[in-house]
Amino acid sequence: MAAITTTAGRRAIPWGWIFGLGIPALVLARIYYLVNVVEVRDYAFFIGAMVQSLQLGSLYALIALGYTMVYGIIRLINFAHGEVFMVGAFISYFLFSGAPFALPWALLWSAVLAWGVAFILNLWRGSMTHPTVIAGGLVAFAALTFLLSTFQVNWVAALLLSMLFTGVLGVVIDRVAYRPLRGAPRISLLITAIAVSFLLQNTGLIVFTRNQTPFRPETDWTAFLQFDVLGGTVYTSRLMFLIPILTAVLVTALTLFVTRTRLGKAMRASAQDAETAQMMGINVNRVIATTFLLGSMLAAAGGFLWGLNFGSLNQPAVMGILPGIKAFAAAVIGGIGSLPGAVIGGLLLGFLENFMTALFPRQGDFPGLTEFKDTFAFALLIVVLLVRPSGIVGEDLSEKV
Amino acid sequence: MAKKLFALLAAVLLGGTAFAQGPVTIGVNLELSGRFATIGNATLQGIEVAREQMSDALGQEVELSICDNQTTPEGSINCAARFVDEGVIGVLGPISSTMAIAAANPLEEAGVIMISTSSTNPATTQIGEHIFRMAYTDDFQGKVAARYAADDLEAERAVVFRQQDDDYSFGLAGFFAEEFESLGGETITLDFVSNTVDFSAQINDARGFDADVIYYSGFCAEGASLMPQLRQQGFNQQILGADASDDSQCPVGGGEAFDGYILTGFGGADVLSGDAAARAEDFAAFFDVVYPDAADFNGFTLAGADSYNVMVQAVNNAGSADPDAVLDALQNLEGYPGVSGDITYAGTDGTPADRTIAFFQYSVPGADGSEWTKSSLFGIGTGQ
Amino acid sequence: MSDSRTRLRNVMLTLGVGAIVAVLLALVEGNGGAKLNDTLALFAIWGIAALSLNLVNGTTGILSLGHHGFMLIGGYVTSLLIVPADVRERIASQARSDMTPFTLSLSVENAFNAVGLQALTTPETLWVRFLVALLVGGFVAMIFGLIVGIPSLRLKGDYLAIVTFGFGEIIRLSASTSLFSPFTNGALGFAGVPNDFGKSIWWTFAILGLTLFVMTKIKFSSFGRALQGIREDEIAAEAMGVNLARSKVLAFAISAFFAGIAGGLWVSYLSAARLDFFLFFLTFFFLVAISVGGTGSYTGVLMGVAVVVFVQQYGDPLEKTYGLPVWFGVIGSLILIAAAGGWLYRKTRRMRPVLHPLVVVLGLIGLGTLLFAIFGQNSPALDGTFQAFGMRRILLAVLLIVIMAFRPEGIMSRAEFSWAWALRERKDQPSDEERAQDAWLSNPDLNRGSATSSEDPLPASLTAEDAPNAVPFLERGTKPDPDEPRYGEGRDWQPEQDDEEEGR
Repeated sequence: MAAITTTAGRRAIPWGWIFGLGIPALVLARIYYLVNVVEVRDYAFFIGAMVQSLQLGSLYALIALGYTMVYGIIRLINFAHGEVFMVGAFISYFLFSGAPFALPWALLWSAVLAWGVAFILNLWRGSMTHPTVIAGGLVAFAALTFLLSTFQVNWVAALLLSMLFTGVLGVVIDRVAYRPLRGAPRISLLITAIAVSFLLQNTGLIVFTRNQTPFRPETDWTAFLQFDVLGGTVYTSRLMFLIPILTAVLVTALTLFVTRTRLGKAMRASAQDAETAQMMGINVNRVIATTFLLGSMLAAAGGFLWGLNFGSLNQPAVMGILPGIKAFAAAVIGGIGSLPGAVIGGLLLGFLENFMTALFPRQGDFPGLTEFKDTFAFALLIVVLLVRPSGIVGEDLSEKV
Repeated sequence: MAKKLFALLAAVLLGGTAFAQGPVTIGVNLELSGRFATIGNATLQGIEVAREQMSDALGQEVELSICDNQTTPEGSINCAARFVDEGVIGVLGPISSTMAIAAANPLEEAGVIMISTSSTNPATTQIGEHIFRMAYTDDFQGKVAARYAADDLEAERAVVFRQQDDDYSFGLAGFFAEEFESLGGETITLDFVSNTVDFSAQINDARGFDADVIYYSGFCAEGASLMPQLRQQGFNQQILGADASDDSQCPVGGGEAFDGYILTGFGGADVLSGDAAARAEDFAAFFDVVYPDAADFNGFTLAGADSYNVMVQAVNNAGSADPDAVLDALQNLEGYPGVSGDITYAGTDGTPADRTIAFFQYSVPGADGSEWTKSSLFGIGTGQ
Repeated sequence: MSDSRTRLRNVMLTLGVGAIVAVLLALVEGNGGAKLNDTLALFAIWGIAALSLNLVNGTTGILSLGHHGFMLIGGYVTSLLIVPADVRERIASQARSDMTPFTLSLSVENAFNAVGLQALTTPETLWVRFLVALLVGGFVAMIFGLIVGIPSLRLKGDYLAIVTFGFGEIIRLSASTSLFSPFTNGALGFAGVPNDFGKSIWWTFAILGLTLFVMTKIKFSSFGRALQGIREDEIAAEAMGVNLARSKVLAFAISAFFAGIAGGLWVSYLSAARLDFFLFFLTFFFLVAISVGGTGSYTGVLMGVAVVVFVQQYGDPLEKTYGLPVWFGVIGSLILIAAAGGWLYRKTRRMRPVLHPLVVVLGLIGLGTLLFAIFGQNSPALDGTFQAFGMRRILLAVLLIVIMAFRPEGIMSRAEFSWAWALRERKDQPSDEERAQDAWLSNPDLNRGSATSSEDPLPASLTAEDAPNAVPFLERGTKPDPDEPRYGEGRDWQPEQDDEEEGR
């Protein structure tokens, strides 16, 4: 009732225009103030900060896509997605560095992932006993054991293989933990997701490492880059090209897949209405498995690029938490359930986090916003959920009573 | 059967009062896993080598009860509770001030002696008379580093990186900044918390401050991420670190960003003089025999060895395993010839009277940090 | 037995059990050793926190994930108010300390001195000061609970869960910033909090008993019924006149208050307050306790807490270093057990073929690993040791996943322990009032015209004594239907298919 009277009572305020033009104007004014009035920064500094923000935002976007896809289809906040991201980063580390897994863990991982491969094949072959499925599982087991325990590959192969493995892991998580709860209340599903996230964190401590890990594959893409512009020097690295471009490629591929292929269309249909989609002959389990596969693959790519960007991986128990929850915030800000929304939200959050600290640096007695950096995402998440739960571009998916 | 039952009952009822005359047990509370695992293991190896050299006290074998605190204050407190329960004579470790301060309070309350191998925060030994340490304190370490930066490096503006959730790093950064400012310099302190990998905001804050030198008071886990990011962002100033950087995680993790990095640390054979140098060299030779493949041999190893030696010496001096007598012996210990110099607790608050601090420099050729070397520049004694 | 006599009997029985518990606690304190003592104290402290979380998660049906944040507030306020003077001096002497002279002077001792209660500032009366500090900590946490609750409780379901998680993290992340660091001593926190209370089983169990008492009172009050109504169906509850916003916020604030109390005891137990004592794992542990024991049942929650505390305190052999043969043996056995379980599952479900290839392959792998571990003990491939850190947490996480998959309502479901159940009375006897109601309702005069009661032979007017066989209108102690959706939510779509059978 209240909503009807307020919207009918006065003219709609063009919030989109106000924020869309007002905030950039304020930012530009603040930059002008810092550069020309108090003269503590130069323009090149802000260009550098923008580059950093773009890199960070791209990473958040990659992770946020996984959240948004899963939420779109089964209405689950996949709490464990941050940990999937962590696993992706560590698997690629083990692949390119040649540091071997201890054999028991290599066997365990291989068994889990081989079963995942068999399960995915089964979704197309129709039976776990189909010869192709069994052969696929066995081949995957042998290949994985070999790869994880001894093999060393270059960074491109490491990225691709880690995407593949992590994607399969996502499917396994869905099959083992979430699928028994299909149809159960969403809260039970969320609790399970939290448990899975906790499980992966602590398994990571055992299987991967307990310490921060340097992440330096042999590539020229991390080489430092400096160029002079507008009377200052921008310090960056070649990653300023690699990360946004790779993100754009992956997002484009995903969009093409979702809009052009049969499976992608089935995915969108299931996101609209899973029950009807099933009645129309869509194999919803296959669609869900694909969603987890794709989301986890993107998270693994994000993990690899995250490692490249910062030069080291945090220890497994904490690595996934903050990026994961921030990417979720990004997905909500953009509008959860919407692919462009996730990208926009991710970029926005990257800018907010990095550029705000650049705009409000430490200055005299003012301590700056650096120490509040990690709270931005949460604060924005809360504000968006309270004010506009549908996000920037999304449709309203919040629970209707 | 009835007899057995009676004996069991008696044991339960008298359990609190009866003292079993068993081997001498010393608790070891160290960071064997987690963020400070390399330092913790170096310390443990030192303790074990020292035990190889001197395995008896009061004619009985010394047993070590090793507890891993997993580099968490909570784990450290749990270890302390375990040692109180076991009734050990004394506790060696932890290495870092945060864990040491966390464990010291319950141990002091229970009246158990604790010798922190390398906690340098002044507050550690102020907690009570049962708490000792093997290292120098941070007011000294910070001052020495500040004087080196101001006099030898002729720096006037310093950026100080401080890990705000660690007692050691927090205190050390404060001492450095105060001394540096009293020498006429200017400082800016930038905070981060443990498990940070993204330092872009801190580095952006450092950009406005035209620094000559960068002082890093944190640990290697974060340092290995910070230094490459600093270099990438065009900060080519000399970086100074403290004893927490005396850890192979730093050059191995951070790679060539650590080339030329100068740090203060526990002095070894190179900077000690006279008998102490010879003892340190003997110990190093013996260590090589026991652990030929050790990842680290550094000041922490020596501190671990000496805290064990001092503990056993105090038990022998006391002539009994009675806690009060051992405490008394430890408080009156004077001029014990340790492998890291002479150790005197008489008349101090639990900090040895004369310690030697050394300046080291890393040299890391190539992007990969695996071929790093560490050379000592010079040493300064706390007595001077 | 009449109503009042039943009640008296129950009270006497409860007091008797309380006395037995007290005797047992005294025995433990005397000869149980420090570890058992600590375990019990930990059980009580986490029990308080889990009970308070259950008021929100179980009784009201709101999933809140920010409980560690409220514990942090309570813990920090308590330690700020109670840390002894020498600790304050040490903090003040720290170079570049964040604390100001004003915040350093904030203590119960100073407050008592200011109002002239010098008698309560002696070492013997530390407990008075501690209780005051604990209560203040609880109230501050409650205020924060209101601040968090009022805006966020407009949301529902998983969004609310995420927002409370966000608030919990914001509390922890901003406690070390310059806004709050004068009160929290930055990120360093306080060392030297007196541990005479958190480690004392008497104090902790007394407060646990008090919490349990308050929680049960709330649950069976009209307010508690309103909360359970919200859990079952918000719209219906609102239609019945329940003020949704007020009830939810009030429940949240009460929960935050007890979380603050638990936080105060927790810092006393650890004798220090640091930010990393209040990580998300606390809330996770309580969530495990609640889910295992039974969402909404206080009896179940305490059972769940006992499981969690046991795993946490006595599970350390799981994290010791063992040789690789041991690990291989364990892994092989686990795989073998999994294969056997799969075979049994297929057999009982009459699935064809019973010997599914996956089961066979799993069994062979498990057997091979096990045999390798047994007969290859001396081979160089198994020459090494391994330590599995975090195994306890893995165990708890697996437990939670399994519970959610197979018995999401937990061990106790929503049932509470009651003496009627323990004494094998099938259900509670109806009270005098209920008897009268039942009699009145089964009065055929009242139901005249309805087909069901036309044959009722009972006379027109009845008293309670006249209708011993009347069907009780309220049947207390009945179990909920396991097929009912939990948390009062409707079922979503449900593609119930077995992947093995699905074909094209």
